Amino acid sequence: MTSIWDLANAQLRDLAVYEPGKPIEETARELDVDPAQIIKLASNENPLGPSPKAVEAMRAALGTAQLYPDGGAFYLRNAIAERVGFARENIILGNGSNEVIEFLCHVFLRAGDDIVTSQYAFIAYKIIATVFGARTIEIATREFEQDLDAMLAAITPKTRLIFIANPNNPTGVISDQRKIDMYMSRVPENIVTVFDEAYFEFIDRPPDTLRYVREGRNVVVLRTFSKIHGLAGLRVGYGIAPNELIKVLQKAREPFNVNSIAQTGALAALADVEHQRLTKRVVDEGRAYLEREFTAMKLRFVPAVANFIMIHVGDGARVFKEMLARKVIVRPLKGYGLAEWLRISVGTMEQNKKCIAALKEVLSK
Amino acid sequence: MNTKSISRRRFAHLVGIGAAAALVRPRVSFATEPSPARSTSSSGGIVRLSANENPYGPSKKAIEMMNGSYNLCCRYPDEHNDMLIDALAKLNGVSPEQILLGDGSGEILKFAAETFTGPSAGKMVVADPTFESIAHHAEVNGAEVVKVPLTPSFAHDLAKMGAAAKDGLIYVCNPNNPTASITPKNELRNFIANTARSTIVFVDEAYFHYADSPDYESVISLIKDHPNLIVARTFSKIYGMAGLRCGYCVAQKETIEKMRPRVMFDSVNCMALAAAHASLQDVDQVTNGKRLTNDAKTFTVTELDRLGYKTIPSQANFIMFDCKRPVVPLIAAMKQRNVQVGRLFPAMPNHMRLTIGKKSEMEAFLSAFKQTV
Repeated sequence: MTSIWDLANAQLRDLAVYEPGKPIEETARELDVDPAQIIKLASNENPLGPSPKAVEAMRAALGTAQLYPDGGAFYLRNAIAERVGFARENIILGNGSNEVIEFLCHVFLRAGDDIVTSQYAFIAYKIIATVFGARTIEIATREFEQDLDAMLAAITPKTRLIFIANPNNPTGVISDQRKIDMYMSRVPENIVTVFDEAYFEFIDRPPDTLRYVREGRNVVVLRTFSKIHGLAGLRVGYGIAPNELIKVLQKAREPFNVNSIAQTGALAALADVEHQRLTKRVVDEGRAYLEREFTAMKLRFVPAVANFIMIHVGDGARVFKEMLARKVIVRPLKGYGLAEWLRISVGTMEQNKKCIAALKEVLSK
Repeated sequence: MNTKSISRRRFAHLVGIGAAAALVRPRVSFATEPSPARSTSSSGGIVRLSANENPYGPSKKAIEMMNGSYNLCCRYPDEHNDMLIDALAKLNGVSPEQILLGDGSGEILKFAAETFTGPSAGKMVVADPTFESIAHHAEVNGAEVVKVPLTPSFAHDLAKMGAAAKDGLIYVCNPNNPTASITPKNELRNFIANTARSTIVFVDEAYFHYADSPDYESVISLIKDHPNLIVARTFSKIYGMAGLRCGYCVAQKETIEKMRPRVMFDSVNCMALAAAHASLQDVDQVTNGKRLTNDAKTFTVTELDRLGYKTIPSQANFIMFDCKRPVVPLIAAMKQRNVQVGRLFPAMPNHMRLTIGKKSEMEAFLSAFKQTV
């Protein structure tokens, strides 16, 4: 009997499936404990929760939940545009920034095309490109640093998109301004470069990629409300690009892709500078604490700039499991080919301390 | 399976938190606080009868559940996604593998068009007029779109649609948007039984809850016998959640698996998941919504009839009537009078699609309409 896979597009057969961080509820069930006891440091979420101003705005917006959202997202796109110094026509919203990656692949990739990205790059690029029948060329890193020169050298006549996550998730390494400028001086005109800046707001001196959008280059900068704004559950991310490029991407967008509560919540969150500042401070302090502890424990880690740190633990699967038994969820990275590493999101100081205590127990065994 | 029930208990616990919070905090008056992100609601004097929305809003239980769920906003909604799928599987008597959630059923239409139509996958066959979204997605993907006019009784012309199809997908919107008419159950049943399995029959049941004709039925029960049948439903209509974006489809597991690679992880947001889950437990939401809509519909149709305007028999929360003149200038004139009505459907340029709002809104419409014509 023929399998359904024989009928489906061949490229899908070996496609990796994205494995999200293990949910709190599921872990609580398995351990038979109250979910409130579980510490989730597995999905780079905001440990302080959503912006209180966003919550207030959402509460007021529930009463109009029966009306279709503003498909053009007039107010939110205006506010984002103002924040980043562009016009509304330079902004496209996605149902999470993942959806903007889908628009990019949808619009630019045909079966047999290539995308170029880095080894250990955020896995969504490869998953989505594969759905459209494109091949992913992954360039080896140097000590986890993305090798932009080698990425340029790997371009083929079929290359349409290059994805540079900055900093990359899960490794946490950032490419600096000099490297980006060098890259931009050499990348061919006919290739669209995507700078995925999901963690931008955590970076102290982030490289400026928007200057290339301003110059009208084929560049899309991705940002999200899932991280610093604490709104991962609402699903809203955005792309910043030259107007013509945005117009092309809009063709692939469902008219009501971003729900109305998310638009309202994101708008309020954007204005809640205090919550952003507080989140960054908590993450900065937590990250410094974790790195100090890792150093004291003689654990190898990749120096981090955002709200997560990758550490070398040897048997990642074992440590993940034993951390889980201690009610701390971290992220195993076998799917990235990093079986000896774990990714730990920065939590509140109380959560970080519990995480370190659990890690010490597990590693001393 | 024990694990699932604990999960539901936890979710129910959250509702408890929401309800308790509502007691100690001053209740926000939803009706009087229009969202800043919306300038076109039925507030500020504008009567919005253009988008087939539910004027009564979401279930109170949904609002309570959302109010108890803000703490989930910082988390990716993976688990609650699974919980809603379980609830929908139970409701429809299928397994969870047979359900796919979408960012509104609009996203389900997109998945289906991308998966089953295209230059090599086959044609998209749709009625004319019908809801255009799926044909748009097929065009984006380079598929040929064939439009088959409705029959004189405004049913889908299934014989002609079947004859026009080759592989690909046949879209049957039942009840049909914009005509609010149905395709009789026996015809549809036979059609599904006789369509080649290489062609997907996609039945969009967005308005299912409003249909009460003995000649209408949902075809979800036929899925077990037809691997090429997909049925879509939405929370945008009777559940009053259009702003929240949640829809789903039911099909055989292997058919769902073909579409699944296109699904973005976490495409349904936490608020929609919470509200949808709570809505399913509120049977009054459906019965009250139907009753209020039917009353306002009967009133409107009777009044239009008195004025000499014939309405296509409606099985949905909107009507389409013969306005006896080009609808486009009429749409503009009504807008001048702060009444938004449905857009032009080019196949029926002298018909107006009108959402059934609250009775007071229908009175406002009738008054503006009389002045206009």
